[in-house]
Amino acid sequence: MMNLLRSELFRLRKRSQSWMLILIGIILTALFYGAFLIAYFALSGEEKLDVQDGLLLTNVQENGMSISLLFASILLSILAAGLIGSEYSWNTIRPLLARATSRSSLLTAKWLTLLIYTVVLTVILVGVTPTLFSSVASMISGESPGGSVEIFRGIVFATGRILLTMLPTAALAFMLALVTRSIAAGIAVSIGIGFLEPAIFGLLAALSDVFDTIQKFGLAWGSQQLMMKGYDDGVTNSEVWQAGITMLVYTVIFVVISYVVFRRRDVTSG
Amino acid sequence: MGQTAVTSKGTTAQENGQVPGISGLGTRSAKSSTMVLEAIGLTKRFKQFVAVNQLSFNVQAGEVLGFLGPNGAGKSTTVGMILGLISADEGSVRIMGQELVGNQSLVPEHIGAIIENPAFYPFMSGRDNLKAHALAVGGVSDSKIEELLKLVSLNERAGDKFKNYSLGMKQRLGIASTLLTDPALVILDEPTNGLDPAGQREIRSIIPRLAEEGHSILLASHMLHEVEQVSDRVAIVRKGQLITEGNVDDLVRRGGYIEVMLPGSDLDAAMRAIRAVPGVEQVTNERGRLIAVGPEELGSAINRSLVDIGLYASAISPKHSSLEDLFLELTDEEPAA
Repeated sequence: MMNLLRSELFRLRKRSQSWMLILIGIILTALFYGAFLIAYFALSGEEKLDVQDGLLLTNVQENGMSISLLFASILLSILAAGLIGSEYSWNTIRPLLARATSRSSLLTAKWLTLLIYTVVLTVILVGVTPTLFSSVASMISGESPGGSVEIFRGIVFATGRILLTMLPTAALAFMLALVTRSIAAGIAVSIGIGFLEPAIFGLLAALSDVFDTIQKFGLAWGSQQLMMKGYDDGVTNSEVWQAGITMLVYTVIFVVISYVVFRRRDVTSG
Repeated sequence: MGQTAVTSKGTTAQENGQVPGISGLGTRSAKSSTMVLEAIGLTKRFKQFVAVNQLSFNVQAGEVLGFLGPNGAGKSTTVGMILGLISADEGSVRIMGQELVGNQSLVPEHIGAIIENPAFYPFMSGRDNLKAHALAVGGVSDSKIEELLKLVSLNERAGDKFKNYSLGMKQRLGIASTLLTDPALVILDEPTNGLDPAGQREIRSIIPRLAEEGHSILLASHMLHEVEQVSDRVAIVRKGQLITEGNVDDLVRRGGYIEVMLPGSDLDAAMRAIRAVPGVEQVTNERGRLIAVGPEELGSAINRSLVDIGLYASAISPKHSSLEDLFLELTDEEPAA
């Protein structure tokens, strides 16, 4: 299995998409803070101070990290779906399987590769990049970013919680691309569910409280709780725990489905 | 222990316990068994459709087995079952005497395969593609990759991206990838598909060299000319069933005949005389040429029988039927346009 993992990581490293996605995420975050700075220099009075306040590290979780989470989850869905879906579209799945000691070991190597990329992407895009741009933008605005051990610890914990929200997104995209043999399906559903789920449950919750309860076992709600913890006092610890466990359960379900399908399915094409 | 692999067209490659790799690329231990691959009673159904039906054949050490069949005969499904890509409903596959089902690790260890079109990662160079495959199996040195690239004449373009390769280059890279682990069995599924004549010739020239170096080759194809040129034996399948298997020379001789030219002679008398020769199955007159169906060794007996009645042939030529003739006869296929 380690040989297969080495091969997967080698290909991930050689693929420009892996680097481009991270670069795109960094550029988008830079644009976000760039827009903040433009607003800062364009405004005056109280509004100007409010904008400057938004640039501080104390508010990085609410601003930079929450926006970069949006970019990161979309970019991660693209990579996750491509990681297995491309094998079908390039017809490389058959030679790949013929090189593997077992289907499970091949799939495990792919899942580990995805996990490694998810951690790297989350740390760079959601943890480091907003922190860096927030600090730089703060200084450009003439204000100290206001970093402290407590703030940095908060950023690290927030990055960890956001990583939990990224896992099921990546797993869903990967699993769907595998099941449907389609990159587009993996990307579309994993991104679409993030927008559709709160909208659907929002409407249904108006009909009955039951849906309000069900909603709390969804991906979108869990993701929101994990992200908001730290700057929204309304989010309780028990809700964070529930959200975290929900994310892990969904991830495990998606992983298990992928193994069941991949191990049983005849590979007649692709 | 030493095993001598009889290569295509009867030459020998292995004289001792070690089988030299291509162009000295390393060595592969000779195996104690001469049977590299055994497919026994393979059956595969896709719902009601039986794609492969009780198919049995084997590939012996150092031989090129042509695996022939029209499109849809079940060749690729069979290759898929050998490689573990498709589960067999019945039957078993043994590689080097070991059962393959439930032991998938034997595939990368003993088999190198190109399945239909060579598939690689378009964003990587030829060299990096081989490296990715080498990493997946482990234990393949960079120098081996370079030597394989040289073997298939891709060393000067090894740094180019795969997506920029011609189809011939892609096929050659595919062949190089099959040799990374110096496998006992190389499976080439339609290796000249889509190639121009020069490309086809190039691939055809590589196949006997692989066999000479001790690799057994399973050449799945419907390119009969190609198979006839490079194979020691052929197995012909139709509708998932084996319809004949044997040495190429024997099979084509089976359909042989003798052509007798007797310009200006009494052809009816000649036909009667030839028909009387023991071993002649049938004699026909085809526009002045007499066609005697029977073994080519009967040429001198036919000549004698004609001389005995005062007729002198201007030419008596033994003729082989081609593998294509045999294939079409066995599979009831019309010749391809």
